[in-house]
Formats: sequence, structure tokens, C-alpha cells
Amino acid sequence: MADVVTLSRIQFAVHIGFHYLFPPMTIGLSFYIVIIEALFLITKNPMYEKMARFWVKIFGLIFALGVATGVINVFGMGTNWAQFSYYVGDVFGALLGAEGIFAFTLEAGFLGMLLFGWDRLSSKVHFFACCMVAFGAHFSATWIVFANSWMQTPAGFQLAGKGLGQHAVLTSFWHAVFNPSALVRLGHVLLGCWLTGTFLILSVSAFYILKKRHLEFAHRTMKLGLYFGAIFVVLQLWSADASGRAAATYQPAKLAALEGVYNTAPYTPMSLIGWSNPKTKKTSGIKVPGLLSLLVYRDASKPVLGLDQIPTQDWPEAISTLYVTYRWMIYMWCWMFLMITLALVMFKRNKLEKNRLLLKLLVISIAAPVSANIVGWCCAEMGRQPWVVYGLLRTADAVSRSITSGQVWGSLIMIISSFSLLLVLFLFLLDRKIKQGPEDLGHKTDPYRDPYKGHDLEQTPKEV
Amino acid sequence: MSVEFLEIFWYCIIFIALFAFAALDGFDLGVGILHPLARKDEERRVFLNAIGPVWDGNAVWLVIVAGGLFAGFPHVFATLFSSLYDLMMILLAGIIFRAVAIEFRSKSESKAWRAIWDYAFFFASLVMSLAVGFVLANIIKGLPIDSNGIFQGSFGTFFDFYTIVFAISVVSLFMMHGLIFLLMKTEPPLRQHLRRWALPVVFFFVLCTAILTLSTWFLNPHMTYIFRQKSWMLSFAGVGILLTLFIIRDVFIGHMGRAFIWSSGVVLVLFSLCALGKFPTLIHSSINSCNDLTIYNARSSQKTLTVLFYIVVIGVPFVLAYSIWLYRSFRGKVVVDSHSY
Repeated sequence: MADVVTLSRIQFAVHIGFHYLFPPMTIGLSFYIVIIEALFLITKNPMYEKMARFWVKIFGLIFALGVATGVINVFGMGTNWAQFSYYVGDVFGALLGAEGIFAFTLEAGFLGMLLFGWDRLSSKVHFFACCMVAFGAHFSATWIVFANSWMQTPAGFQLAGKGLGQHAVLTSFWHAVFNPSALVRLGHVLLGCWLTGTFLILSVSAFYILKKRHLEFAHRTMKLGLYFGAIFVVLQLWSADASGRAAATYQPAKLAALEGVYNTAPYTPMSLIGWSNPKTKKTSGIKVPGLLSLLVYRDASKPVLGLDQIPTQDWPEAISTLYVTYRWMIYMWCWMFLMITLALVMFKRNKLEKNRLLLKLLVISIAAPVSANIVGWCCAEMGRQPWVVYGLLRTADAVSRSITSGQVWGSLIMIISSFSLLLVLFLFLLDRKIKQGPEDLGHKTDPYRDPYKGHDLEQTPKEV
Repeated sequence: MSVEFLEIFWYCIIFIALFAFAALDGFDLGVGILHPLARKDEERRVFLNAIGPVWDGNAVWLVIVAGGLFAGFPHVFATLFSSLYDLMMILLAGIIFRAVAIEFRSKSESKAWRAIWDYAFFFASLVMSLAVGFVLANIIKGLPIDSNGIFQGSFGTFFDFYTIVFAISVVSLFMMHGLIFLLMKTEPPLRQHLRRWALPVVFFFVLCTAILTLSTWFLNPHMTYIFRQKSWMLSFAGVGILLTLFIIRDVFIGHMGRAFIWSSGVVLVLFSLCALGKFPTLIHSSINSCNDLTIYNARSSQKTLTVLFYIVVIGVPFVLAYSIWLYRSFRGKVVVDSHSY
């Protein structure tokens, strides 16, 4: 339990897992802020400006947490995973360099304008800054997912050196970037982010409707969230199918572990609920015969490769956990699909505002995409084990050689305690900001305010 | 493109990113260290909002330095970050708590809440500056690296007379830079109050730098080798002294914008001296100079360096353009409004 490899794995999981609470929310929110500001530019309806200002405030808070917890991920690769950094540096360098220069600086640079520029920039320039932040956020995610996909399905490289000095050398930048799983996984991640943003705004507007506050604001936000959410949740099903099939092609051990397939046999079943036990090599539960074969090969009789065809030393360690996390992700999708469908039907019939149970469920449903994001990455990363770079470098060989478990204990305690504090503060502030609600622009007495000319702000509709 | 060119190009990029971090986030950190000089809540908010729209972007340069090493000199990245494990973790704690302090301080009216985050902002900025100082000092002094690139020292290895002087000098440099930035961004009466501190802060910086220069000359001959060979390069130091005199003059006649340019110049001179002295070694091994990691033996492949070259050539003009635009949008004195920290 106390060796450097295990501790470093826990540490990386803690800081990257904690970090990943935030980027999906900001990426998803940035999408909606662009839409809202565009609607404001088109319609000049001050309600949209009010909405934009509110969501930008929430965005700023979440973004700050994302940056503060994100720096540690780059550092963590060097501090705890020096052998890994050396092994992949030549390939990762180009990918992360592109991320840093093209995306991250763009995002962080324009953020100041987005947050503080309301009264200093014209509405068109502010919209531009908003688009740049959104583009930067999405583009940043793109490069990171490409780099991670390279670890899942490495391409465009050759190996050089021997023993400790062995490392990957880039031979084709574009092959490394567009490695076999890159685009499929990017789609899956981005849809996950958009769904997170969707449920964040749905949750907040459902809360306002329940409390009978800011009703016009809540109604418009709800409408946006439900329409786009319906598109995202359907697309996510298609993307999940593509991701599963990509895993079957390139990482059969991962898929077998996720589904608890121990025997390679025709009509491979998929279990809806159950338990996978690697000791007895059995998966018990409610199974649908042939479903997995059907999903993977579009042919129920074709066998899906099971763990019996894979040497035991190449099995992922946490097979039972993987089975659970994978099913959790699927259940969360079903929950999101159900919520959006019900809410949309009710909304169209103007009955949503009276259905308090559904509104309450919508408020807590933010937990669905957030937990799905985390367990989804657990599937991706734990499913790749025992490899850190699939088929090439084992996780146990990737750790830094000069660090001791005492050092990692120290940093782990530092990270867990400061992140717990952060999480408590974040939830406290987010809760307060949401309870404060959007500000009424009519009451502003800001001498520096001059943009958004052409409409009288005093006419901002009064809250019902 | 020839490998010889790419190696030097990427060495320059790392150095430029490091300079950008010191010149930009340097004043943010300086403002943090000088935070106790603010006398009341309004002034503390002016301090925070002077760096408000820019600190986040400025801190990115540190990530660029780390990412740049990972990309261009992966061997150095791996060795450095794992060797300096404890220092890096302290630096990280500083980064996290500074961000949080700036972000959270003004979110509540409570006096106790604000006092806690004011202390956190000060300590985090100080700890971050010291940690950056100790990291740079140990890179310059050299690390006990064996032939496999594995660190053979302990936590105590990082601290001796030289590294302590170096770290304090970094703090004094950031203090001077931050003070001049504040003078530029504030109005009387706060400006009058801060101006009284200009001379002591500049003097502290000059004193630290003088001790540091002498100890580098005598204690770390590998750093000063090139200057002994090519003594004309020492004229850089002369430029530094001249710029410091300009700072004092412009602070007293009230040209704060110009003083800030000179102060950035001082940062450039100091980091140029380090970059010249260090070239071409990135990590000097104190065990055996055969184990040194240089731009020749620790670099990425020619292919990767070429890709990086194009990324920089395409991307950096954009970065510069919107950075300048951002600074222009927020030029002038600090305005505390409803969106401020």
C-alpha cells in the first residue's frame, strides 16, 4: 500500500480527478455563454445580457478553480512520473506545446476581458472575447484528449534506446495527433462537457423556478438547456457506441474488463446489472445474450474477445471496479436522457413549472454528468492498466526513480488537504452566487459604463 | 532545419518564457509580498485589482516553462522535477493558495474572512517567490545527478548560503518590480504612501544583487566561465546598474510608466546573465560533469523540435497581439467596480 508507484497513482488520480470536476463545467458553460451573448447581439433584449453576466460570473469562479488545480497536472508528470515523461516527452512535447501556445494562453488571456471587460469593452468586442475563451477551452481539451489518446493507441512514432534509456521518438506529427482513438474519444469527452454545462444551467434554473425567483431568467435558461441538452444526450449515445467499438478494436483487454467478459464465446452477453469477480472468473447478474456482440460487431453471433485470450499479467488490476464504473456511466446517461425527455415534454405543455418533483430532480441531476465524467475517466485510465502507454510502457516502470514513499506521502497529504479546503470553499461560494441570483442591471450606478448603447437599461423587465 | 539551430532556438524559447514569467508574474508576486503595506480595505482591494485582470494570464508563463522543458528537453524536465520534488510541491502549494486567496478574498464582507485571505495572499506570494528562487538557485548551482540522471541528494541539498542568497534576491527583485507596478497603477494618496517605500526597496534589491553577484563569481565558477573568457559580456551588468539608476530617477520625477520599463529591463538583464552563464548546460551535475544534461544530450528529436518551431512561429504572434490588446484594454489607473476582486 505504501510503495511509490501506488502512492503516486493515488496522487495523480486525486489531483487529476479533482481538476476534472471543473473543466467540463467551464467548457459546457462557455458554449452556452457564447449562445446567450449572440442572442443578445441579435435581439438586443437586455434579459440576455443579464443572463450572460450571471453565467460569466459563475464561469469565472469555476475557471479559477480549474486553473489552480490544473497546473499541478503538468508538474505531476515530472515530479512523480519522470520515467514516463522521458519516455513520451518527444511525442507529448509537440502535442502539449500546441496546447500551451494555441489554446491555453488564448483562454487565460481573454478571460480577463470576459470577466472584467463588461464596462470597458463594446458588446461586440466582449462577444469576441467570449468566443475566444470558449474556443480556447475547447481547443485546449482537444489537445489534451489527443495526448491521452496517444497513450491509449500510440501511433506516429518509433522506439529508440535500450533499458532505462528507451523512449518513443516522433516520426509523424499528424499520425500521432490523429491516432486511431483520438477523434472518437474527443467527441465523447466534449459531449460529456456540454452535458455537464447543460445540467448546470438546468439545475440552477430549476432551483429558481422552485423558489419562484427570477422567473423570466429561469424560463429562458431552461429552454436553452433543454433544447441543446436533447441534442447532446442523443449524440452522446452515438458517441458512446463509437467509443466502445474503438475499444474493441484497439484495446480488447479494456472492453473485456469493462464488460466482465471472461470467456470468448459466440453470442457474447452484456449484463445490465451484476458483479464481476476476477477470482472466480465469473460475471453474475442479469444478462442479455448476444447484446455485446451485436453492439460491437452488429452481429449477435460474432464472439467478443474475452480475458481468457489475454495473458494474466496484462489484465487490468481493478476488474470489479471497472465493471461497476462502466455501468455507473451508462446508468447516468439513462438518467440524463430520462430527465431531459420528461422535462422537455412538460416544458412544451407549459406544465414544468408546476411539477415540483421533476424540478427537484433536475436540481440534483447535476450530479449525473459530473459523476459520469469521473467514472468515465476511471474506465479509460484504469482500463488501460497495467500499461501507462498501451502495450509499450508499464505503469510500474514509469515512476520517478529518485523519490521516496515518504516524499509522496507528504505531497499527497498536502494535495488532499488543500483540495478538500478548496472544494468546501468552492461549494460555499457557488451556492451563495446562485442564491444571490442575476443582478438587476437597472440599479447599476457605474460611471464607466458606456457600451450597449441604444437601449435604455432602466427598461429591464422587473422580476415577477 | 539544422539541429544546431533548433537546439539553440529552443534554449532561447525556454529562457524567454522564464523571462516573461519573471517580468509579468514577477510584479504580481511583488504586489502580493507588498500587500501588508496597504493600510485599509480599500487599498487592499486596489492592490488586488491592480493585478486582477492579468495575473491569471501571467502565471501561465510558469506552465509554459514547464511545458517547454517537457517538449524540447524531456530528459531535463524528468530529472529536474523529480529531483526537486519537495521544492516543486511547495511551489505548487504557493500557486494554489495564491490563486484561491485572490479569488476568494473579496467574496465576503466579513472582516475575519478578508483578513485570513490577506495573510494567505501575502504568504502564498512570498512562498511562491522563494520556491522559484530556490529552484533557479539549485539549477544554477547544480544537482548531485549520477550517470543515470538520478538525483542522489536530499532535501538539505537544496539549502546553503548561495541558494538562500539567491532566493532572497528573487524576492527583492519581485518586490521592486511589484512596487513600481503599483506606483504606475495607483493615484495619490496611496501613491504618496507607496513612494516612501521606493528607496528602501530598491536599496534592498541592490544589496541582495551585489552579494549574489559576488557569491556567484566566487562560489560557482562554472556559471561565470564564459564571462571570464569574454569579458565584454560583463557590460550587461553595467547596463543593469544603469537601468537601476534610471528607475530611481524616474520614480522621483514621477515617470512611473518609464520606471516600469527600466525595471523590466533589469529583470531581462539578470535573466540574460543567467542564460549566458548557463549555456549550453541545463543541469550541471555536481558529482561529475560527464553527467551534465545539456541542450545537446537532453533534447527532443529533430522532428519534434521542428514541429515545435512551427508551433511557436505560428502561435506566438497571436499570443503577443492579444496580450498587448489585453494590457491596453486595462491600461490606466485601477478602477474598483462591481466586477472587481
